[in-house]
Amino acid sequence: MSCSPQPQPHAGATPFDEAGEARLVARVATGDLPAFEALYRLYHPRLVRFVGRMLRRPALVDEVLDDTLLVVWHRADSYNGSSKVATWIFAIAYRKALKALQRLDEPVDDDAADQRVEPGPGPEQQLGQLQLRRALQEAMAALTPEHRAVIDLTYFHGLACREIADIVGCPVDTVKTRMFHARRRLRALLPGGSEDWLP
Amino acid sequence: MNVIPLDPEGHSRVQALLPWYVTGRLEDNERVQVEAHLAGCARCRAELALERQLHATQAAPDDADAGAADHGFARLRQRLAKTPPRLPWWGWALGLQFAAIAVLGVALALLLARPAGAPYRGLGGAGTGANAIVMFSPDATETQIRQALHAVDARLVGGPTTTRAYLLALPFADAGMLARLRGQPGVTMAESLAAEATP
Repeated sequence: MSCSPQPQPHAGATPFDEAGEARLVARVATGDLPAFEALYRLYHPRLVRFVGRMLRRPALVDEVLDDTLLVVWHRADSYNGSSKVATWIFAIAYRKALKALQRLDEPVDDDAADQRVEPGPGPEQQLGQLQLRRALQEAMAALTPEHRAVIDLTYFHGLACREIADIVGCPVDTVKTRMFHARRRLRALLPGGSEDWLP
Repeated sequence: MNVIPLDPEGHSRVQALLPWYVTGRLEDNERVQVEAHLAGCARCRAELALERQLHATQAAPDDADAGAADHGFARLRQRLAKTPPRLPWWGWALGLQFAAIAVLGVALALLLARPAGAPYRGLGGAGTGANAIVMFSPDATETQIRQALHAVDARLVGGPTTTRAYLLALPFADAGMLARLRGQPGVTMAESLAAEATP
């Protein structure tokens, strides 16, 4: 599947377009600290969200966030413009988050989970919105960090499949497969979502 | 990698694309394909409704912490202050150039400060204190040479030259002193260097 570079739903708050972000990175590469601060403020909320969802360990978020942006500061000259700035920065954050989890001996890349059948709650469970949200959070917690990353990059950050594949460093089909199985677990919690959705 | 099995009607393929259909991140051809399938498939339309629910739950922004970026950047600046300044590639190149220039400078200084070993020196070479030149017969003994020098209170300051001459520093390189030197056993020639410079 190829995906088009369309505007991101949650990038509307940024005062910079893609070219503007690339110019910021170029300035950071020259040691321009104000440019780095602008880039930091631009990506801080997005990275906090992404890393937080992926790690689910608040104590680690700041550390991974700092590690990520230190790489941006020190390696800005390695950004060659072949991808979006967001793709480049999210890819750094993704790798830093996985490394942080590995240091904690946290299981990662549990592709076998894709094959397991998620029992989920029965259709009789009609959850209120608050309960639903809590249940979905619990279901997200049961996913692997890689699955959570794909979910968040798709739904919240509005990234295309190809962009996500570049960030997590895997083929597009793997992204779709991870998304497929993650959704199967989450949708089982939704009203009317428990029945088998495959033909 | 897990491969989603294809089904003749294409339900799986369409359902795999639904997340990006909902977020508007499909290519045009994929969007047309999904819409065409949805138009004739009630089951996938139901999936689309669930997909929109799921998207709504996951796309909700977190509670924003207005001061988080301020605190985060202040924290990161402290880490930046503890790390050596980053140099862009041209900074490293300049640094290497300066280092090379410094090495060459030191080498040149050492060369200039090196004591004169056995430099080529003309008979009128300045700075040696020589004011006369003397030649000895090939069979002159060391004793004869030493006695000749002693007789005129001469000091050997250089030689032998390419013509087997020696440079002497005489108290007075006048005619009488030179005549006395010429009269010593083993001496075949004695001349004033001052006279040599005079046409």
